[in-house]
Amino acid sequence: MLSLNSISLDNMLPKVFVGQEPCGDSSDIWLHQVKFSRGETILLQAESGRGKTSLCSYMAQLRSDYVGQLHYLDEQGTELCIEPSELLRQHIGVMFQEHRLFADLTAVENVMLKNQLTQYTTEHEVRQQLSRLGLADRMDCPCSMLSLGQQQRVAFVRALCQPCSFLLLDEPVSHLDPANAAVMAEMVRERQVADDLCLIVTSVGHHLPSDFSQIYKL
Amino acid sequence: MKYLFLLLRRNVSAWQLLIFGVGGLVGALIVMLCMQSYRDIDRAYQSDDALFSENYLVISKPVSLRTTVKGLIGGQSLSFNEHEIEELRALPDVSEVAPFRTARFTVDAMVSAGHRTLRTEMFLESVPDEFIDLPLDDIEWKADLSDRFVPVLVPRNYLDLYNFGYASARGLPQLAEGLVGQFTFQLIIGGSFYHARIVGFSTRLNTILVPDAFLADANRVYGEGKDDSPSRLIVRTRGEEAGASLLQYLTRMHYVVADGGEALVRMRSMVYGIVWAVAAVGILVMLLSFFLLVVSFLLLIERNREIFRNLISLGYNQKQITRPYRLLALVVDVIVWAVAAMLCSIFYPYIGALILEASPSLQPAGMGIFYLAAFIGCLVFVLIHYTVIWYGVKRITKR
Repeated sequence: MLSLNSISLDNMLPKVFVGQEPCGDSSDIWLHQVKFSRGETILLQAESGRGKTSLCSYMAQLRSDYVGQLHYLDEQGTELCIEPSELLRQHIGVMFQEHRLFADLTAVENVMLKNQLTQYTTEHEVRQQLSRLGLADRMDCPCSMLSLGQQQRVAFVRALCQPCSFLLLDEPVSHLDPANAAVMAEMVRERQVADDLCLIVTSVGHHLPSDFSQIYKL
Repeated sequence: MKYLFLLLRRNVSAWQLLIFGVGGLVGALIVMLCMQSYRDIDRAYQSDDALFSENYLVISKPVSLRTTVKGLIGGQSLSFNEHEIEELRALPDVSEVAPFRTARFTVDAMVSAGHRTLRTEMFLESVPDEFIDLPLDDIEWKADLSDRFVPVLVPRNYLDLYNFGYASARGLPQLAEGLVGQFTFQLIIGGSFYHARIVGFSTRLNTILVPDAFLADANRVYGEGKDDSPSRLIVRTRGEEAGASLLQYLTRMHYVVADGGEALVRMRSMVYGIVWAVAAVGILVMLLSFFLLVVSFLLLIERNREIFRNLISLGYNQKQITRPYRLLALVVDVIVWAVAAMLCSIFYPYIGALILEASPSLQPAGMGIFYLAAFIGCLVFVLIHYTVIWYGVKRITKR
């Protein structure tokens, strides 16, 4: 199997920003050469509307409305060509800012829908992870009946439910209290240790309590 | 794919499926009835039913005082010349034209009953065998000058005239067709005696007919060298086309059509018009139902737009996403067409009875067509739905 080791951003800029005020001076990412590698813990910080969610979507190959280049590299620095659905199943776990849960499915079913694709874990383990995040009594409720904070935790567990070398968390604690944010950070750390993955977290200010090796301003 | 199916089940309501199924069923029934109607109409065209099959017209030129006087002084003739016959033959509505051959010699008929002998002058005509409306293989329709026997066909209305006019008025017994055929009489042609027998009664041809080959030979041997141009023509029209344009031509040429043939042609044109109008409406309704089925599935896909996008963001590919929808379409289509075929085979016998009542010469088609239609229709619907699902989802999930 292909082994994704780093993602290189080469002078990227969302098309929507093209022709607007120069971004290169105010951003560490847009129109710069940046490389994210396994083992790193990265925080992308910016106010709203600076393209945090767009960058996550670009890296996950869910959108392509940008200029510049995006490269997926293995340990030797050789460029990898990975099919988009395989990238999302095997290499990059994403927790979306808008959660993207299925309202008619329960919390467990939402996670298992992903697990059905990746065959990464068991329903028992999924339930354990949801319980750890305080959802023991809510895991069999349809997601339409969960609060935003509860939905955010379900989306997080789902993002972990796959093998990956990169984990993108788009504003993961925006609706969480500090206690739940701390549990989430702990779970991420465990996973990072186990898989040596690259954690990329975006934030508008209230961010995941982790030890970030690098902080970028968008 | 348990959870993917679960997602579909939670997002497609029973009502939606029911509406989808009923819409499909209506469409399927229309398609099957259209196919069946097409087959019935096609069978009607192939049949001998006067309204659908090829038609025969006997035409002549009008007789007036002027033509009578001119005929007496040897002027204008009421016969058709070669040019007129060829012109008629070239009409698109006409498939064949044949002249009536007339005996160019004197003919006498003689019947002997006991000591009494009845003798009368008469005439004979002939047309090519294929224009005669009787199964000639079943009757003895051959004669040779040397045989001394001539089969004769007379118009059915001669028999009716006798049975319901003369016999009734005079208290004489009425005669059945078979009984008339038992009597023989004698024909005196150019002084030679021939035995003759009435072998059948024609509805189409209002004349006394003998076999064409016999009359041709007799004219050659006994003929008196008179003008050989025919004064009556028999025209065979094309089954599916004969209509208004032929009638316009006949009117323009001042030709006369015998025995209500004109009315039949008009009726046929009308029937064709109605049949095609109904077929056009049927095709339109069928296309509409196809369109509705496509739209209903597109709406279902459009309604689940967000779901497809989210599934793509989880790493599902298009093939996996469309699988439950394709399976749903397959199951619904198979059920819909099976029910449609069942309903048709239950109710078609009643329609068949109506057809039989309307035109006894038509036999309603069998049920096999329904099962074939159901199979083909199901295949087409499944293909359409698969295509709609595939491209509908592709459009939504394009990155």
